[in-house]
Amino acid sequence: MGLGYRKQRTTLVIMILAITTLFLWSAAYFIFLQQREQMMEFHRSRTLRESELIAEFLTEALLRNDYAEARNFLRGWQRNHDYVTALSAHFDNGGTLFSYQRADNASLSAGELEQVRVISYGNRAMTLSLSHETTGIAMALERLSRSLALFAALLILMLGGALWFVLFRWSVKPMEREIGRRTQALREAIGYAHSLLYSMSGHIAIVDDTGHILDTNRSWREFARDNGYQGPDDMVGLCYFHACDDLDRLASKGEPWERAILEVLNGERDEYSMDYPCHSAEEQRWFLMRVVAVTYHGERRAIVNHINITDIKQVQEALARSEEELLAINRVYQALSASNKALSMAEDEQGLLAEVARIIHEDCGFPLVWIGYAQNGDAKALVTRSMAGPKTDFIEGIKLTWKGDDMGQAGPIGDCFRGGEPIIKANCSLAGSDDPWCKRAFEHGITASAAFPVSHGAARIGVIAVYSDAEDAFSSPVVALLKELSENLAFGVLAIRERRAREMAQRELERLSVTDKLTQLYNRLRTDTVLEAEVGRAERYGAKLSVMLFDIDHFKEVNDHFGHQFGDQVLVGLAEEVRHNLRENDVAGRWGGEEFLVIAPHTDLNGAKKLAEKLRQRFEAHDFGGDQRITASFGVAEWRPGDTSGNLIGRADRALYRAKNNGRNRVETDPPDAA
Amino acid sequence: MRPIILLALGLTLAFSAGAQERPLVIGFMPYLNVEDLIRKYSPLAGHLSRELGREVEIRVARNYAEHIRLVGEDRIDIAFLGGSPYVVIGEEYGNKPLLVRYEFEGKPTFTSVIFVRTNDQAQRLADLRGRKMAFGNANSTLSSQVPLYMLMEAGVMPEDLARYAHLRNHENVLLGVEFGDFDAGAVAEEVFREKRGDRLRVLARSPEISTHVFVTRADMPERQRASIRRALLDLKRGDGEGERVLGAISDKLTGFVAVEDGDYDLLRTILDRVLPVLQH
Repeated sequence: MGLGYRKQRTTLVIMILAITTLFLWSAAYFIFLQQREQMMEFHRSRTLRESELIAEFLTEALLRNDYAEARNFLRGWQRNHDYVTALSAHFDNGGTLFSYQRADNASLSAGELEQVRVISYGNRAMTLSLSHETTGIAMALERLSRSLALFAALLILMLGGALWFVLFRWSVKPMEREIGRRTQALREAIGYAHSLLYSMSGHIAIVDDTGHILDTNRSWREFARDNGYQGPDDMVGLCYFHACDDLDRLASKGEPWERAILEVLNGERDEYSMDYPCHSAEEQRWFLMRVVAVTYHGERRAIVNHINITDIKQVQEALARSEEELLAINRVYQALSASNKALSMAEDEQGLLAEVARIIHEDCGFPLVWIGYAQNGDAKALVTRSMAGPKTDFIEGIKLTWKGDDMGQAGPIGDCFRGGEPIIKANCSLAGSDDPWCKRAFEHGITASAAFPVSHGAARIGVIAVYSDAEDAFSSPVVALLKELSENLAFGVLAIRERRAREMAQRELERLSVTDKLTQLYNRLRTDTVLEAEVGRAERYGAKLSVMLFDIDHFKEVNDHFGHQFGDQVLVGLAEEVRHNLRENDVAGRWGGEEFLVIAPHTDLNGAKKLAEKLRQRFEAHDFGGDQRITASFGVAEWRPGDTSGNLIGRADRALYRAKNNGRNRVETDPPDAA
Repeated sequence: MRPIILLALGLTLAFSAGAQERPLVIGFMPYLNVEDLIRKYSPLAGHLSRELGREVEIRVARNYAEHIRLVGEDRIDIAFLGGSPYVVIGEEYGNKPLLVRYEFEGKPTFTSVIFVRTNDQAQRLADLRGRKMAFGNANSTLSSQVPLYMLMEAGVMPEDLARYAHLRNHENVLLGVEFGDFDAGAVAEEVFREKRGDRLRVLARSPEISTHVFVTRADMPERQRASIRRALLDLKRGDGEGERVLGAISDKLTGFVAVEDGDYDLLRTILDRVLPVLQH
């Protein structure tokens, strides 16, 4: 101990001496460097000054083209200044005015005391270069500084060696102590890790890269024993896989979990996890296998941990079921809102039924939706109005009635309509096979059904039946929503029927307002309106337009002789003839008591006259009964540019007047000679 | 300061102490700096002094104009003249008696060259139209007067050039072209040959122009003039004295040779043509 201390003290003293020496040398070196720099600065400024002086003289001489003088000056300068080491002057065309280089180049370092300047005269340029030597002191300082630097480098090298040696000596013992301490800590850590492994509830095995078990924990061993394992207690050395003799084959053809563990072992992946069922006779169990890589002493191993996750699994499955249910409700809800929209926009009843069936099928995913109406009468049949979905053949073969138990054949649809309440068949697969209806359903891949009455208040219309291929598809929220849907459908159907009735009433009213009640021809008001419109059209487009007025001959006498009822009969009969003989575009109206107007668009006077003649003959030939021949007189006029409807009618009236005067039962035109 | 002092003093060489006459004066225009001139011509002065038995003194004028005036007014015994000053003085003051002319490398004439950079596209003098041209001193025969004559003969007038300048000396002309401030330049062929490097090439060469001359005062006795001419003509390369004297003046100077006024007729023609332009 005493010897060691003396050794250390000596080393310390040496080190302090060395460091002091190094410091002093460094200080000296620094001072030398500074001195040298000052000296150099002096030389630099002198070189600069003198080169300026020379340049000034040269410029002046060159401007006079006195090259000889310039050369003499340079030569003289070089001779008179012994510290000049190089002096040269070159023209920009390569010509050399003067060039001098001292044989012994004593300059400190090349370029350090060199001044190069360019002299411009006229448009020419000359390069002047001047170099000086430094003084002896500067040279000495330079040499000294170099040797100082060398010495310092050597010293640092030696000092570094000594320091390394001392530090090495001083640090070995503490290092040994440290190693001992760490070894102890490592042992403790391993013990700790073992305890940890044993205390874990997961079934843990550690597998080496040959696939053999290196270690297992307590819960692994217990589980193995509980499941009938009877080998060595710790299972160490057993193969973890189905076989360990050909791992390459296992890596390509083994079970997925075997391949995954091998991948973890050879570094292709860092970890792997998988959950799997492991049901025993008594209970359903699920496990999560988690494989993690660990490298220990440079060897790759895998920690395989099996955790019982049965509880979590059960909760997860319950959650999944309720999610599914929620999804189903959402779908039905969506269908409800879609069908409500269809209701509000529906134009006709059949279209609405088809649309609602389609919505329920598509939105809710039911494979069959059926909508039918009930018929009263003896048959009490339920007839199909609309179906959607791929399983329509299920229902197509069945004759549906709502007669009830007298036949013992009523299915859920009939029961539903008769009872006015939904009928739900929840699970046809489990329900008794003695129910023939359910049996047939099951054969068609249908496992549940629900039927809802389509009725609103006292109005009972029919049934919506919905079929599912999933068990328990009709939870109570779904049923409630579908019930609401069917009620809404009933309301919608009634609303459409109501709207149809109202529309028909409206149309009839409209018809009546423009029609002459007796003859069913247009009345005077409507005829006027049509005439105005046609005259307007003729004016705008220059289209042809003709009109004819006709009046029943001696109608007053007919009335007086045969009574008003016969008179009405004559009017109706004539109107009938007119309707039958007019062309599509012609319009006829009752103009006055026994006076009629026919408007013939796109017809000239000649055409109108022919039409009038045709009517006249038809009238003449018509048998009104009572042996009475009925004739009429016609006045025809064609519209001319500038004619108002009044003018046109006036001219037709004049022609009619002429026909009356000329013996009746004839056609006259205005102007008369037109035909 | 030394050149100026020497200029005033001259140089006395007292070889023949017994002579009582005033010293003979050799006068120069300052075509080089005074110091150089005295150094170059002192051996010649010494040679003449010995041959003639008289003191000989070198005098350098302050400038060209002064030299011309002094020579014209016969105030210089022996005068150095370029070809052009000789012609000019002759026209103004009457021809001065000729002594000898210079012979360089065996030739009593020299030429001037007009040159461009080696990579320039110009092939003929006419191609210099619209280019930049450097000349030497406006009074210089070989670097200004002769080349200008060549240009004019080729149909290029000064105003046809984009720019031209008279630089201080031949060297500046060479450098000005080499460094690209000018596209072409003109210098004495000898100068060009010595200094051109490989960045320049000759575009045109002038006819032979008679070299510099020595003349005497017009009123110098013919006998004395003959002695001086003799002393100059005797200087030959290869013998000790000649080698020393000629070598000091120029490496290329091979001697002094006979000359006559007709040798300068070509130059007269040239000057007639270019001087009005240059003075303008």
